[in-house]
Amino acid sequence: MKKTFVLLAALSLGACANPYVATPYTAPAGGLTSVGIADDSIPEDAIAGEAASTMSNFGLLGALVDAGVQASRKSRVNEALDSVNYQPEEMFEAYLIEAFKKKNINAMLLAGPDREKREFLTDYQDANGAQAVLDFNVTEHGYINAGNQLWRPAVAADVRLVDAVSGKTLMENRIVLNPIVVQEGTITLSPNPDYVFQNREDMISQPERLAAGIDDALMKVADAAVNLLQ
Amino acid sequence: MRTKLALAAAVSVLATACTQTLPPILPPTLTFDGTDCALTPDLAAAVSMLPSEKDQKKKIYTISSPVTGEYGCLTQNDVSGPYVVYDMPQYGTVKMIELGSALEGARIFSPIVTLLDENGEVTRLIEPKSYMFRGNIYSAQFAPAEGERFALVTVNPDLIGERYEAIRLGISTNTIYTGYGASNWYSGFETALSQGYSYEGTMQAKVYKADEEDD
Repeated sequence: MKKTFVLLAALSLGACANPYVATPYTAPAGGLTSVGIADDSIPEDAIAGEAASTMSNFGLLGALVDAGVQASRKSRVNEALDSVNYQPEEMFEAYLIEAFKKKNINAMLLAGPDREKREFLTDYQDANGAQAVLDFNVTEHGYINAGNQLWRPAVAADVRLVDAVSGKTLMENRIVLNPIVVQEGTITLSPNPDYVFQNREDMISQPERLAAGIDDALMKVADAAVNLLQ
Repeated sequence: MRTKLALAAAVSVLATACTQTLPPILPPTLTFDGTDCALTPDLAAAVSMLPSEKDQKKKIYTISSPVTGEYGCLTQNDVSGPYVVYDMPQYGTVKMIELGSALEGARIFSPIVTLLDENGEVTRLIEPKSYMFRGNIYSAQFAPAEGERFALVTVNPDLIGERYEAIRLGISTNTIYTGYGASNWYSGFETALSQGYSYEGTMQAKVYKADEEDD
């Protein structure tokens, strides 16, 4: 009987979340040739979230997190990443620039203050001569566990491309790698099976591999965003 | 008795929240005999993307269409296969259309979408690299431009023989009923997906109405 309830509730939960409404890409007149990438694409701390228990909250990744256990685990994971001086933003932005270059689009970084919250910017005026501004807002990155399962990389990002002259939104999408709950309308990417950890000790004892797994996930999200601009 | 009532209530909630049907598990179709296929799509037989009567008031509605050889086939660019052509809503009445193939038990249709004008002339090819999985739908999103009327879905032969392999997480909810009410207990699960890209399968068109059409 209990299994019946589990199945019914799982079907209901998975099928009925509010859909996300994206803005499909519209190329600017003459095609896209240059992009300025807004600063502060990645938050400072990684997450280490686990579907755990009641008294929990849904995040963008859909993780249900026990706050006390989560804080302790997140701290240990970030300490491990700090031990190898892990700062993914520079790598991520360089990777994005290279991905654009392969599509003959000249991309450059735009200087700007850090975001106060992990939300889209409100001002896109300073494009430094670029045709459009890419607001790549990674809202969460790190590792996630569906609950008594394996730890796998996870990234969630909101991505917006804005015409630098008209201010028109040329594209807006939400990309989530390894969500626990899939929000309809969001792009869903699968984690790389090469980066898997058995438990917290397994994660913190391999900081370089831990960092490499997040890098790999971030690059997959970057590729997806660039491929949307077709 | 209490357990039976609780189960009935759970079934009732599920039935009102969503309706799901489980399709039969079919293997991927890896070859297709293109003998006697048409060279141009039958636009007169296009599937309408207008909402059905029950979907009239919805801001977002979905139309599912089987793509099999039973409904005719098309040969274009030396590739033969089943196809489906949609008659899109009038320009300006939709915000966007998400058009893609649905993951089935063992297969997924390998789609490629071309937009046509009212005479069947190509206006735009939706670049295959822009196809992404949105949940269980391998899809592209686009906003129809003025003059674009039909969306032609044919087979992308490049993916036939490949498989979609993925790891998906999920949450199940265990509802515990007591004499004082019910509480939910969540637990996670992990599944591995492996579907073969196929000449046949199911297409899903999700239509997002334009804001002025919203109720």
